[in-house]
Amino acid sequence: MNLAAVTAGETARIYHIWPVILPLIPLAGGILVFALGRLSKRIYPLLSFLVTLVTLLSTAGLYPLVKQGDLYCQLPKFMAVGLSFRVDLLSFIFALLVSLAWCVVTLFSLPYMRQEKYSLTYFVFLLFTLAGNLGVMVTGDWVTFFLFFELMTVASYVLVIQNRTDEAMHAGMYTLVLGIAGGLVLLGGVFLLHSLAGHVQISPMMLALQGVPAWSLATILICFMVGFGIKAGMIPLHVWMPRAYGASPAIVNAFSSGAMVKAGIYGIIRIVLLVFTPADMAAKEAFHFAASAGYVIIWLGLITMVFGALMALLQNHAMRLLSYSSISQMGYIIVAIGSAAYLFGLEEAMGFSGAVFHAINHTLYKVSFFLIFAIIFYHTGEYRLDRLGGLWRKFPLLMVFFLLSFGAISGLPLLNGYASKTLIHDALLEAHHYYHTFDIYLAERLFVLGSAFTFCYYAKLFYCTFLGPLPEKYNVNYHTSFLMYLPLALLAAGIILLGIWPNIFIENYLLPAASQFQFYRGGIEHLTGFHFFSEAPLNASATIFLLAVLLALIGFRFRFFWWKPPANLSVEKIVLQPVVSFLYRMLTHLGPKTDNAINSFYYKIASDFLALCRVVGQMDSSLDSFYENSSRKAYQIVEKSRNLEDSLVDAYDRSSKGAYQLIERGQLVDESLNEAYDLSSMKAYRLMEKSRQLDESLNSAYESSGRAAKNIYDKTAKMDNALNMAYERSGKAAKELIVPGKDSTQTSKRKSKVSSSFKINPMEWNIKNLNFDTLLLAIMLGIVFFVLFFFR
Amino acid sequence: MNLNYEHLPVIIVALLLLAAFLEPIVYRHKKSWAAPLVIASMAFFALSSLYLMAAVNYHGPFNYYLGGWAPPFGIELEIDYLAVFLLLTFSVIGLIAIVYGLQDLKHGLKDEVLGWYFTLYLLLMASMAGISVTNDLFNMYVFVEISAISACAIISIKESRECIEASLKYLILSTLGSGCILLATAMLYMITGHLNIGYLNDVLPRVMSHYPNNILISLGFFVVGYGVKAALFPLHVWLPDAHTAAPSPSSAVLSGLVIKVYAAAFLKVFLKAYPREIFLEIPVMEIVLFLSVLAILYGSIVAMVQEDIKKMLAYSSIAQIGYVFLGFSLMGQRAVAGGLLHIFNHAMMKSMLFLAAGIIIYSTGIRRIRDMKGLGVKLPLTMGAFTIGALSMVGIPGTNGFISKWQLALGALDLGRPIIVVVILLSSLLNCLYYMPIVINAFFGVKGEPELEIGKVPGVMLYSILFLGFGIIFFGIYPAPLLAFLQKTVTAIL
Repeated sequence: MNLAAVTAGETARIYHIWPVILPLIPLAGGILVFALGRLSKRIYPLLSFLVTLVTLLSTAGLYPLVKQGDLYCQLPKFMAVGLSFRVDLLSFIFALLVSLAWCVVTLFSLPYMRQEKYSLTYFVFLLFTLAGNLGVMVTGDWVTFFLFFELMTVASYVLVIQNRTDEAMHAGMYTLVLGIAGGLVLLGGVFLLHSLAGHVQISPMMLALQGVPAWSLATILICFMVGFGIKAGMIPLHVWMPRAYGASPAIVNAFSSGAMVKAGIYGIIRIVLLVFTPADMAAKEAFHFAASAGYVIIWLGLITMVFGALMALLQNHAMRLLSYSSISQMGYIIVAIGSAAYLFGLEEAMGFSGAVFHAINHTLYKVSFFLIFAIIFYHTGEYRLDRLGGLWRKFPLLMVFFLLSFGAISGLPLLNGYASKTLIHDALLEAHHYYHTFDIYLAERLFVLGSAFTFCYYAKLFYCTFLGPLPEKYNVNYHTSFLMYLPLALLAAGIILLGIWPNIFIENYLLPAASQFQFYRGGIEHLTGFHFFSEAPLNASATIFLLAVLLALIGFRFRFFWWKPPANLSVEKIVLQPVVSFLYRMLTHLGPKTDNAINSFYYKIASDFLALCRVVGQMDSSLDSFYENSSRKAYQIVEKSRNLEDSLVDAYDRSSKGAYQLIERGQLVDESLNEAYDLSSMKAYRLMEKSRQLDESLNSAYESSGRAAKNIYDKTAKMDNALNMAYERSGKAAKELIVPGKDSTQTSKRKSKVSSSFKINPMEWNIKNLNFDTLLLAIMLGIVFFVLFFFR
Repeated sequence: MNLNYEHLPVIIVALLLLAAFLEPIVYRHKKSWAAPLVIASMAFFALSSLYLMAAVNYHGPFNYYLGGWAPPFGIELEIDYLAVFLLLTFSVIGLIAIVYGLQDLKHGLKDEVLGWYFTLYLLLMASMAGISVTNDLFNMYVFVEISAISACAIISIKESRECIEASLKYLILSTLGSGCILLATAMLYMITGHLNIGYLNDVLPRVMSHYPNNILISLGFFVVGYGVKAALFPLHVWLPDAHTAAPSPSSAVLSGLVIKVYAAAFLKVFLKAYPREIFLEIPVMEIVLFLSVLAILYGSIVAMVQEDIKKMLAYSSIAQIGYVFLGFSLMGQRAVAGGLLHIFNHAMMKSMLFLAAGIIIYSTGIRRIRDMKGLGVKLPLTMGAFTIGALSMVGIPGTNGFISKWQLALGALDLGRPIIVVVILLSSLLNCLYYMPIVINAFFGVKGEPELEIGKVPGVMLYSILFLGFGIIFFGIYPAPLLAFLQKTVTAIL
């Protein structure tokens, strides 16, 4: 391809529907497979392979179009801001890479999945995940990107839990939650970008973002880096990777490491090298932010790379070792992206090409590693390195493939890893060349060290798997399907071809892709005809190998590689798990705690109210009965006093009758006196001589009248006594009236006893909440009024 | 034929009321006609709402004077974009819920109360339609009371202990809320002499400075009154019990629609009756915003620990009503549109989830979340629909929940409030933490065949939730017409 034609001007934009169709193929295929899978068990694996093959072919078929310019397609009516799809060369390369990896591994899983139990869900979700993964590569704006990113996260969950063991379920949940959390952080970045730049197209935005404070830009970048970093396994966001890889089958890991992780890398390239650049090359100062971000990213990458390699050295589980290896390799790519950003306006094409090239190479050899171990597991059922060994006798062909990939990943010249590593290394050297700072020098040295570690842990993996004594139980004849070797052979061919002729690939694909970015044209031209097999890179490679062999010898000699670090010595255990468990505990306990607190508050209020009610009730009832009794007594008093009155009236009556009798008697006496006087005057006149006799009779009359008067007196005194007695009795009755007061309290006590035996449990009686709720309403009203009046 | 659509809103309300009171008679004498009658009235409601929407969209909003009496004296109905939007939402979801409910209610209710249930349901619908179209505060209060009482009765219709308890609680709180609303209305009437929202909006700016206390007190009473009714965070206490105790179709309607109608009434009162400058001086919207943020977080966190699926959904509703109020209280174009959109979206999601939970309870009797392992194998379509609802709650793109969140977050950012975005994203994560395990357990929780006894699921129930699930996806992928309509709505309000 003519490079000058591309670099000369703006790339053409071609409206084409195909980018939309591309992710829809596996999506529709997945639905089809699901529908057919219920009918027949034979067809669907083959069908899903065909779908991936069609996807691959239609992706590859885009090349003639992509060569002419960007393909774009917009569906403005869909989703919130419209979906837009765009395929430029970089998208094309990644899309091809992803669909290739997917196709190859699906081919491999045809024989592999034959015995698996959940193969239908596996094939269906494999296609869905492919749709998400491919969609990520062909989108033109971040919302559409996010759509497919989330589709990939959710669909790949089902792949992770393929084994359905408890470990797998936990790892899957962990992955899903982290993936969705990462997606949401990413979405936050998209929101910020939309509000600051006004659109979310995946295009250079730095001009639209001019004048935005650096911390806002940094926030956006951090959001994006966290979102992508989780997917790409950037330390310290890698924690899901060893867990998920350790729990899921090797082919799923091949998908994950070969293709899905690349979605994160692709995103990082897009955000760092495209979005944070100005659309116009001339605006040099607008590169500053990207350059300083690049510096940080270099170090993030280095930490990821070295730490990943160190952790890989110490693993005993092949899948976990390979997962750390993937993390470490992602570190290489992130270093390359960082150095590209760091060298903006200078030699960014070198880092860019290194990153993309390394992503491709990593897919090639990492997928073959995973497939090799898938075959080994298929036959032996074992991933643990201390239980394996001596397998070269049984699988000589596998060993050849392994050695090929081993050479490629450790950067042996004439294999593909060498070329991309050389590019990355040179990018670091260029950075040192331009800035001359010690830390970049240090970075370059660390890079070398990391590469040496890479060699070491693969040497360990090789030694433990293929060399050494063969365990007795594996000493049987294995039959491996031809279909299992075919994908490995394809990958090996890729490794060798890219290794021998890296320039052809770089000049025909990577540099045109780079020229669609806002890169310095000079840097791109420098890469044309880059001498991979010249002295300097070969020397560097030799240094790495010497160091690596030395380290490996030391490691093997003193068995450093078999040192098992204490389980607590990991980022996950030290930082993440406590944080997550703390957060989780806080979140899950906060709810019940608040609920409990509110409940106990309710109960407290309710029981207090109840107690209050009870006391008031008691008081009430005792008062009631008191009133009742007293009124009864009063009634009794009234009745008694009425009796008393009656008796009094009676007494008066009687006494008046007595008095009447008295008077009558007095009258009688008077009469008799008159008679006596009459008689006496008559007798005195007539019977003077009988005066003595008369005198005597008079005397006796006086005497009897006196006696009668005394009688009357006695009777009145008796009546008086009776009155007194009556009064006394009524007084006693009144006294009794006070005494029954005591009696009435006793009865009220009895009543209250009865009422307390009639139990009211506030737990069952929901009146509590009502109290509280109404109270709450009042409080709210109060608060609202307070605030309103306060701020008036 | 020239159909005069202007009478349609009144006809809707009147017809629903008429049907409501006919229902017990019909049920008594011709039992088999009762269900067709309620379906027919709801279908009429839905179709005429659709027709009104088309008419308003084509001819523009119009005002209708009840009985020909012009506003200061008569009752005015304002059929604007907001009103038809609400009418359509309520009628369609209401129709689906009752179509579903016919099966479920026969199963769950005593035979003799079914006719009363229809009465209450139609009353509720009539009052919601009334609240949507009326432009008169007192008239609105009347409809609010009708809906509160009918909702109460719907909750207690099962006559079990917890139903009656819950509805009593709801009754008392909601009566207090009504009292607040009435007091606030009186406060406004006292200083302006108007009850018509349009007239209030004209007169209030002039009298505002003379009677600041009346304004403040009315604002406070409105916030608390509508807050209680719409279950805004600290006043939500009645909701979980009430929505858990009610029969499933009622839960769907109560959680999906009834709390929303009060939020919409809140919007009408605050953004249409009060002049806008009031909110610059008085931080009442800030209070509502604060409460809604708390609601979002609190609802999600408490939902995480629930064991009963309906209770979990009820708590989730508290969080979701927080979104609606969040959008309203931000008062930006996009934010209010987001709030309104969430009324619609959440009505679909939540009623679908409640109906799906209803199917689960109907066919297996399972209510506890942890017993739901392996349900996905036995009830694939139901759990599939549930999964769609759950994904929508989490806000996975491609579902309508994502569109709401998108609108709300951008609305918040338009007004320079990034912290709201953090809240929205955090709540999405929390939603993921409590919705996803249900889905995962249902589909992947059991190895092999799960040991569950599944009753037969009536087709009508299944189709109604599938229809709603389809709606969720459809409006998640193609929300453009809805967004355009809401844009018009919001421009008319703000």
